[in-house]
Amino acid sequence: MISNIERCYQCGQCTSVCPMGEQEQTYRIRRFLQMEKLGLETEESMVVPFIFYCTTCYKCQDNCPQGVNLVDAVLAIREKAVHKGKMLEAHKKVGQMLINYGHAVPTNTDAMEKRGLLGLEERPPTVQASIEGLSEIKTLMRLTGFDKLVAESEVEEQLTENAAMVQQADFTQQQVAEEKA
Amino acid sequence: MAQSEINDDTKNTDEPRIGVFICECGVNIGGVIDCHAVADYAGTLPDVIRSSVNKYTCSDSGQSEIKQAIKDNNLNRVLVAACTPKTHEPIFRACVEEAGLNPYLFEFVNIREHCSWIHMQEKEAATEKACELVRMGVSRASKLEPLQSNEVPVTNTALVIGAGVAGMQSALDIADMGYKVYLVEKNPSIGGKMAQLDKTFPTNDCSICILGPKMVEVARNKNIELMTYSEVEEVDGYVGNFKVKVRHKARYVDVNTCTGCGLCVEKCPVEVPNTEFNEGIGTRKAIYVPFPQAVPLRAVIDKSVCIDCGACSRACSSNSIIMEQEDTFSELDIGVIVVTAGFDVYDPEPTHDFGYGLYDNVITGMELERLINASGPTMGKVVRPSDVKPPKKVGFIQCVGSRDKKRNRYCSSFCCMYALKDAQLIREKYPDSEVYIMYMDMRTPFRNYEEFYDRARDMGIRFIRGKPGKVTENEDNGLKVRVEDTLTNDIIDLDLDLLVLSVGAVSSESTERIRQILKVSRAADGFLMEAHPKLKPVDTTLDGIFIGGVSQGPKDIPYSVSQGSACAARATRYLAQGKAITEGITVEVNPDICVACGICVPMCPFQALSIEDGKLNIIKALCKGCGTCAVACPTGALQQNHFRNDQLLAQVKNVFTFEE
Repeated sequence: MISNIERCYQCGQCTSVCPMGEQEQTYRIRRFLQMEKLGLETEESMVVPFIFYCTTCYKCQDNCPQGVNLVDAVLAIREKAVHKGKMLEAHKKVGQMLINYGHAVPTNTDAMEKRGLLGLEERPPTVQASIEGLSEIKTLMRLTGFDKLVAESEVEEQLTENAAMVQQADFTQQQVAEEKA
Repeated sequence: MAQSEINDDTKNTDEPRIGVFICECGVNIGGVIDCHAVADYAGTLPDVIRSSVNKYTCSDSGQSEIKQAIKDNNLNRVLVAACTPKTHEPIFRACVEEAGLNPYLFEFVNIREHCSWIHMQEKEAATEKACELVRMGVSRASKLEPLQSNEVPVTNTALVIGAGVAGMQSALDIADMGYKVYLVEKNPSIGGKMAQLDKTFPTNDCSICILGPKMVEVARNKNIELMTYSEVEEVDGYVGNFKVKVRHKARYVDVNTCTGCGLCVEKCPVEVPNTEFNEGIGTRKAIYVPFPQAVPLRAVIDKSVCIDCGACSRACSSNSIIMEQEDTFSELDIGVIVVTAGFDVYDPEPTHDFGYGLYDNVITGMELERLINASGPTMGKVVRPSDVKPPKKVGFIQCVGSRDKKRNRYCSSFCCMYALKDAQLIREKYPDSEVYIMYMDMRTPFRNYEEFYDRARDMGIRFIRGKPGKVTENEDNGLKVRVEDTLTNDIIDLDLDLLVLSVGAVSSESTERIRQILKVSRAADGFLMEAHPKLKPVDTTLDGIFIGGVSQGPKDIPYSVSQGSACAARATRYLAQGKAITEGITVEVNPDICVACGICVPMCPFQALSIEDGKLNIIKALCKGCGTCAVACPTGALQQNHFRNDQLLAQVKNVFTFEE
């Protein structure tokens, strides 16, 4: 059982306050809860992308007359879905960024330039500036199995502009490493 | 039945001779605890003469066995290890008394609630714990001493606080049984909330038409002394002998000469919102008659808004206006008290539930009652507050303030039915109207209620299963309600002209005030607490004080009337007998140790203690044996009979056994 969803008496107040429900007429947070409560891990309850629509705004939780921790429940259902391999491509890509650079959004060349103008180091003092730190992150990701969750064959072919910037960042990082050596 | 152990028979009756009876309570205890092992163990304890196991110790055969064993083994103490003293101690005390023992030489050990029920999964450990509890009980039993309960005379009068429909019924029943009743009501008229309602479910008969005659009956009954616009100020004493002080608030009108003609009301220039009877809809004057069917039909002046112009005085043909009137007090000798102090309607204003208080056309169920009532401020026309036009589309939201963890957890029980009723009334009055009820669960138990629900569906009332999340106002003051119909999964944006919130009941301030005066317990939901939820639903833990109507918890009219009658029946037992038995377990003072410091005096919730002439005085009849004073006593001079230090310490010492 996830969170305290057994309390839910299916009044639907969560659905009617949900800003995402307003955007997407098929999005019913109440139904996610009921399916989870009954253990129905069906295609519908785990359907991608609906389960990822929640913005965690907490409006449902704030209004729930039974004090159900809805957002916790949604996050837990999401977690289950991800473990079943149901994940958005975009999320996978972000996950890979994390593995490759230690950051979901690494510092790009633009930002590096600006940092330089401000008299700062090009890279913030995080894993981005530390080869050892990054390799630790990678080890962690491997040990926790995170790398397998986000592994996706087609990622390479769908390089976006963002990914291109990342390549650039990767290049600079190598340079830093060489300089240090 | 197992006869486990018989110790050598000694004839010395001063020595404790304890008989131990272990109850299996069917499988309640026997299914978890090895009762025979406990009985065997008890047989090895000091002073235990015999021990045995029963399937049901409280049954006739179980009790006969106790009586027989007392005779056969010359027992002078009895210990039963079974369920809770709350329900069963009186039975066993009576049982040992019948066999010639003092009833206080009985010791009760609870191995059900305290053991088998909470350790269902750990049978061996539960058996061990039961042995320990019995061991502790035996050591206390050997220290028990005989006590006497007292008989006190009962004054032949009853006080009923609150003259709503429950209180009126209670007063009428007690009066009809031939006893004098004082019926105290804080408002200028009797009738309570029921007088405000339009129709009553499930028959849709006019509320005041069925209540009015009852109100007149109350006023006419020779045994009822009606005290309206009065409040109970102080209550002292105990069952059969209560001293009650009642404040009669000044009406500034002579009730004996006023005829309720209303001439004064016409002339009065001050107009204020009618919050008392019409939920703030419409106005009343500074001098007013509460409502046309009021009992007594007498005017009353609201001094907080009166400008002392004297217009009423000049208009009155019977010279009944007395501007210099002051509050008066009555001191009453009362035998029994019935509390039917009523409830408040849940107020959605502070939290603006569903836009109430923000949007004009969001109203409560009680406000709708006044709008739809033929003698109400709109003469029975249902209109929108914003433009006073009849609404075409009306919606009800159920469970407002109820079944909600942030407000009140409980179900107010009558809102489903009153929403069905009001929805029907609107459909009847305005056949073109559309009526929606937004609900989570429709609860219509009891006779003819389901049929009432059927009728509502037949009349074309539309039901949407879902609780709305969002209410917004349109340009024309209409309301847009967003609700998920959880049965079709559709999100519906409903445009309504009028939105009615089916608000529930909350414990009233006046009930709380009376509760504090009487020192009656209150439950977590704020309502008064009964002595037992099933078997003593109108009793309190205080002898001679009874509770009924919605002050005890939300309920509808038939249930409230039943409780009013139940209170009357329970209360008159004392009046009919003319006597009451007081608790034998009281506090005792050792005058050699007491230094009359007086620390105990304010501790006593029952005013049983006082310092007189440098000495502590205990009124035994007032003492309930709660023990609060004994705990506070710094010198140990106060000892609670039946729970004396030596008795409790004997028990504590035997919590553990130590290897020598």
